[in-house]
Amino acid sequence: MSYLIYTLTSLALLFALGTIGLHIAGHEPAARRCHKAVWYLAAGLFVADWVLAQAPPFGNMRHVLAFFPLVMYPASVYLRRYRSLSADGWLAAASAAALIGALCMPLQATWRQMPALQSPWFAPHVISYVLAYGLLTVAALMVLIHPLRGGESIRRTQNAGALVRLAFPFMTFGLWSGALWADAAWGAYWSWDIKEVWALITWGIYIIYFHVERHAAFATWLRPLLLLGFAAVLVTFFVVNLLPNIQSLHSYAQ
Amino acid sequence: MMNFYTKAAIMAVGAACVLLLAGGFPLMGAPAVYRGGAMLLLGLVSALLSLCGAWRIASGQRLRLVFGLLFLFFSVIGLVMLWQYSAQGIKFAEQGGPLWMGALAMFCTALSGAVFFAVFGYLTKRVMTRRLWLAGIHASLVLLTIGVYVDYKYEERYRLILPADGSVSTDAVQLPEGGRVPLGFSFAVESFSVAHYDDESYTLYTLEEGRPVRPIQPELQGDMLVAGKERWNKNLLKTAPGMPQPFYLVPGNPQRVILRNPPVVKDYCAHCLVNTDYRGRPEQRREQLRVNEPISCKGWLLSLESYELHHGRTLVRVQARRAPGRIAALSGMVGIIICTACWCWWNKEEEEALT
Repeated sequence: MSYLIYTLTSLALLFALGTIGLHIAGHEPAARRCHKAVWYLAAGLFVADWVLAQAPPFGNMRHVLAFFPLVMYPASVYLRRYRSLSADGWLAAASAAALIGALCMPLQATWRQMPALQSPWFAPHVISYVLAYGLLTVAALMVLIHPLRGGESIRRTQNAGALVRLAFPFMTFGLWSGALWADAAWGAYWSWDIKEVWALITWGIYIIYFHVERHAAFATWLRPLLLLGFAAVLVTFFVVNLLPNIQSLHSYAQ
Repeated sequence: MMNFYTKAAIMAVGAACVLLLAGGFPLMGAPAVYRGGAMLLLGLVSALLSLCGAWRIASGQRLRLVFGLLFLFFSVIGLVMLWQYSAQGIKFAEQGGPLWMGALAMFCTALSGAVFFAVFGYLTKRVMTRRLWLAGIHASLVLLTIGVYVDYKYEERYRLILPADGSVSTDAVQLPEGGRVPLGFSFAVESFSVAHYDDESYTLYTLEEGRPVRPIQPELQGDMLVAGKERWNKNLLKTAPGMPQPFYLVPGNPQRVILRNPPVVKDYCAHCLVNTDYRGRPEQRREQLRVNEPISCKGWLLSLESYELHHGRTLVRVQARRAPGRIAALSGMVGIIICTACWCWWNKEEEEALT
């Protein structure tokens, strides 16, 4: 099973890189097909992880990173259909980054779902966060890799704004559904755990983004705020889990 | 032009983020700031600004906002009914009640919940506009803050440690400083069950100065444990006095040991007896207390925390909590989730066409 998982992860990564290449070369239909292949491989990976874990595979960082591409392709379809935004290359870049992370992590074949994770909140909480983080990664990439001025800059900032608007409700659901779950599981809806605090900081930064978004005087704030928000996402998702000597109620996610 | 309230809101949220950062920085944080006066003041300022925000955003449509939020509340109640009470019907049937009764209860409550949800959901959609959803986010934030403040001030939280043989029934919490908090009911754990996953796994450690380091998990292929090019038969592992799990010392240098991992806990459940009263008449309830499934009685919420073995007896740790602001806080959270989704995903073109 471990060989199958690593093979599927590697293949999905190769196709994600192919999608980015095709997107850069301007072959959008081919990039779309390639991105679809990433989704099929990620679906296979998800099934393999589920069989190995004997439960929905969202219990550790490798599981979550391997799940990223599975939500990125539907997001690209949604953006293309309803927001007229062709973002396959961008979303595949986010998937590729996640898959590289998944390949670097141990398989944790013996992981089993502990009692606190056996809740109806478990899958929606993680899936919504994965979707939000994936879309916010793309929004940050869009404003990071672009000229500082000109029409292209404005267009990309607007597209990034559309992505944030799509992602923010997922992040909000992730944050507050986590609190509702904690109320049942730990007997406290808020414990000031380090992961919770960083999730709240991230949420706060995007709240500020929404307050300044519509005001022309603050147009120059949008780009730094998106990057700051993304930095907070990275700290929440990676740093808090990977730094040693950190006591967290979310330590099972390591 | 940005108005005063928006500027103040940006400053308040920014200041809150900086304070959170002070306590939440991974290595040098100072978590005491969370319960400090500055944070409480910022929470209060944020709540007042949210209230002003809701008031101003809903200007001219305030009654509509109130009705919209009420309809939303009832539609959520419908969903909760649909989810929770139909699940109770199944649980009743599982606990030995007649199957048809469980099915009927499930059907009736699910139907009522579905009707509630459909009717009030439709009314909510008719009443609310994108602007009102934004006002709803602010109003929910106010509700959340009120709940949090009430809990900060009046929440009571105690830990009970009870043997799992029903020998101790408690009707009060003994405080370490000598006081006593009555619960208003008595509570005992009659029995306790633990289920484990039935799969087996092993870990190969290198021994450095007698300490196991660098764990590797060999793959189990039939009876063989495989780690890279090395293979060992799992029957080589033996038990020994003082060792809780079977092990095998791998010959060679450096010294290595294979240990069978202890079984992983799948689920645990405390079977409790609650003696209480209903409108003055004594009532005895048998409840199953699980992680994620707290039980409530007389305003107290009992949550199962963990268990431990002590001199051959199982001791169960239960948290008793009375949080008067909990419902307001949880309602605020649900309100924020729904209003944010509706505000962010509301079809702007559709609304513009309507207006």
